[in-house]
Amino acid sequence: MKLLVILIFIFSTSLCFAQIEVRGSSTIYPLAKKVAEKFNQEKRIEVDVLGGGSAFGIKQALKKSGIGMVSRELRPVEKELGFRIFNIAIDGIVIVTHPSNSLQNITTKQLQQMLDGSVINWKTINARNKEIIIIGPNKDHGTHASFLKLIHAKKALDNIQFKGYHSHRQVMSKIEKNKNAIGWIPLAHYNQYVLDKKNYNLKAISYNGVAPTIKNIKSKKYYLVRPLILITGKKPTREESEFINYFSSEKIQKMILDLGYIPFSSKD
Amino acid sequence: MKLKSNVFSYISIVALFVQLAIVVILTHYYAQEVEQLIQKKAQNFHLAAEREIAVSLGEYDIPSIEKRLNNIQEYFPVHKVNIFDTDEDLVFQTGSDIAPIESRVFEYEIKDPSREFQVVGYLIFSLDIKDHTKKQKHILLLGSLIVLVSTLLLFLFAQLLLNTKIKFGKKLAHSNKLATIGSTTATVAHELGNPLSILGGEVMIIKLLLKKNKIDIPQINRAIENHQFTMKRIVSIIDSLRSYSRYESNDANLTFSYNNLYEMLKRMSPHITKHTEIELSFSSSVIESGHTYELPGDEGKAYQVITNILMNAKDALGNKGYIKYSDMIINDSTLKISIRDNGSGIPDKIKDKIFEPFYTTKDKDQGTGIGLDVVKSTITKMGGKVYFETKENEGTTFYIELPIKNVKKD
Repeated sequence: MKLLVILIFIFSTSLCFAQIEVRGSSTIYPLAKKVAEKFNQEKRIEVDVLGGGSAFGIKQALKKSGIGMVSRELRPVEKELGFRIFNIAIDGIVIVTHPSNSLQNITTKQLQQMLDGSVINWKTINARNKEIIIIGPNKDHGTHASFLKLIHAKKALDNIQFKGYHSHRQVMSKIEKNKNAIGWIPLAHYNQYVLDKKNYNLKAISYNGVAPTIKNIKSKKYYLVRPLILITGKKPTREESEFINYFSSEKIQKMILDLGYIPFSSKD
Repeated sequence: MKLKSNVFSYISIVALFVQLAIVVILTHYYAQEVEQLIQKKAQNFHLAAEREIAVSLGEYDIPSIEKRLNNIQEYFPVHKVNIFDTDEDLVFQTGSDIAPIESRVFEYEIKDPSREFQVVGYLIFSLDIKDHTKKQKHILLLGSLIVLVSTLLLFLFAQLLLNTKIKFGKKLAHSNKLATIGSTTATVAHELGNPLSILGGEVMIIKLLLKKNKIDIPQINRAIENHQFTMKRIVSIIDSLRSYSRYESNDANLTFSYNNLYEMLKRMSPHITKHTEIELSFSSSVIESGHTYELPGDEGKAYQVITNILMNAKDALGNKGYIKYSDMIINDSTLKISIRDNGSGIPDKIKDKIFEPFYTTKDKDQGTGIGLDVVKSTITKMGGKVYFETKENEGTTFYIELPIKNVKKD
């Protein structure tokens, strides 16, 4: 009997297989999940939202099926692939530490030194004789690539100095547990999970003297910023178009704001 | 019997081993089946859980993991679920800390389809396997029961088999007894036949004499004496048969004259060697001495004993040879009779057995007497002893020593 229930359960979940598959950026993932939920309620169209990081968003578009989510500027080679690009929001990147860390501000130079391995101990920065643990989203993530680009890091991070994780919430959880850790996460996630829901206890660090806030981004003082985009490898289906357009709707724009992202339309 | 019981115990052991092997194989097979079932259940939960939470775990979306796990958990006999990330840090935990009586912990990787099935964490859960191990225990119990019952049956079977054998053995013993009685009867008939035919002969002599109107008093007297002796002999044979049946006769106060016995033996000797070329000779230093020797015991029995030995000697010789009867006095107290033949002798391997009851080397119809065991016991009762010397292919000498009770010197 139980087996039957299980079979029906599995069968039914496969039957409800999403008509739209959205995959990629972990930054966009929580937003896309909520939008998909609302979209399903309203339009009765199933949307299967998968994360993984922007690299998988690009791969999704390359498959020429479904929608890819990317949380960075497309690279020149990617731009040549003829993807259809739909801007949905803007998001910052915030540098965070364990709440016990006395660090208030960090400069581009300090960050570069940390990331290239020339500074490996906190004592040169805030007089704590402890090894610096750098934690962030792994290379699959737009937030990883954007961050290195924005701070003009001289080379890719190697795994000895840096520990990359599957998702931003994992990064938050790891930094929260490590007094010597420093890392970076999407500002929207910081707004949602640290400031709003208080799921994680982290400390946001000002960058070059500018605090990571939506206000500072809007006034262009804080420039660790990247676009959040949806891409498709071909002309979107009717349902896909409907879903993409749904992001521009008023209630989703409000939701974007509520979740700590910056609506694309308010960029200007 | 010994051999058969060995074979039987061998069979029993083999049977027990076979049973044990069967039970072991069955339980092993069943245990494997149950094990597969457990593995399958674990696998099912793993697949369902992975399907539900892989993406959420990849995104570290803990509320979603919780919600989705709660959705499926009730369909599986899992009692505690732990989700770890790739750093082996605990991400999520659900279920009771109180472990069921019997549970097993399973660990699976969780692969995220959005990340091309990269491992994003680990699912560790404990499965309640009480029902399965219960089944395993039941089958084990059943197996043990089978062994027990079949062992019991085997024992019963063994008992049955042994009983049958005992009965069979008893039957065999009985038929042996019957055969013995049969041969003894033949022996007795033969033994009695001899004196009876002597009696018949003597009566015929008297009858002939009377018919011819020839009253030869000495001849008639001799015939009557022979008659009397033979009658005595018959009585003694019957007595000895009674002793066979453990009817002990009391010969303690009887005495008899050896001189008479010797004469009688001499007179009857043609009957012993009848139809053979055997030469039976008598010589007696005792008779030559002119004295009369009185010996204790029954004359008939003594006659039977000596006749027995003479008959044995005759049988040992077959058709040809000689038997020499002689006697002598030792120390004035013992009379020693020796009966010597030049037969084949007694083989070493049966030397010790010839005085045993029922022992015979002869065919049924050849039985000449009650047996050397009776010879021995009769002589022993008379206060004497019997023994022999033998040499293969040279012959045997039997010696009888009897105590002298009285000597009448003329």
